[in-house]
Amino acid sequence: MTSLEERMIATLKRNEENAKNEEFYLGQNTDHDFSAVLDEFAPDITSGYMFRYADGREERFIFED
Amino acid sequence: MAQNSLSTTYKKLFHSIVASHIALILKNFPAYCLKSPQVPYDIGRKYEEYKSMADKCIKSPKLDRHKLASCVCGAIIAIQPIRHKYDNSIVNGANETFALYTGLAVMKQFMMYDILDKQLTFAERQNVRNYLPSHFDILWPTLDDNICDVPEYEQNLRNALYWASKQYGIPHKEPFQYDVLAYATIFFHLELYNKPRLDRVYEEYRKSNNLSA
Repeated sequence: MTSLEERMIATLKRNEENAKNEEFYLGQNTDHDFSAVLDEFAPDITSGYMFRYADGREERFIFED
Repeated sequence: MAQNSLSTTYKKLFHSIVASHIALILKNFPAYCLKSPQVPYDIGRKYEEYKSMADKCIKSPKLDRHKLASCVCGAIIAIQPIRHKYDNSIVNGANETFALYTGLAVMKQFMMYDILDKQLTFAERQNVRNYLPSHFDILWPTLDDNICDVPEYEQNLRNALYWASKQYGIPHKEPFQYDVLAYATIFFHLELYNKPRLDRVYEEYRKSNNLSA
């Protein structure tokens, strides 16, 4: 076996041994709150950006609450 | 999902990053437009859908920066918001480029926030917040780094995103699907690649402004 093949077999064996205990969720996240990150760099534009649409209209967009 | 069920965080994301990218693209390409006024809502619904799919794969209740970047990137690709003014088409790769750079912008904000998270006074924080966005940019891995080949990294990634869009499925073959978690890993690698440069940019700024560490 090549080294790569050995590692594959070792990983499969480890996987087999730990199958019952191991969780397959992705890592524990300790990242910042996304909303706070966006607030920090929020642009100084309160009236919305100007958009152009396929029907020819141009207007500022802002979400309707 | 009703329009008003979009999260407040998505609305902030749209306003802070997505909308400014759209406005910039439309300003620079007079023949481009948004396909409909529903685009901000359509991207939002797709973003929330990808986000709830990714939520199921992690232990903690909130997604990390790379998955969020991947979710917004995938949502833009799925919606294909930008089109040509005079017909229903758009040059290949335009929406994918928009999507990719929007994902990168999300990641960049988080990276800069890491720096701001340090013990800075209000005034220092304000100055760093003004300095970093224009002095730190996300760069692509290069051939010199032995990380990519020809075509270049950006083009390869954009082309892969192009084929990830269902509507570009190869005739008579199954189309590829956007993979939120796989692209999140790519965003993560791009952060790792760029992180030392951000540290250097901040270190230079810190020294020239006599900031504490």
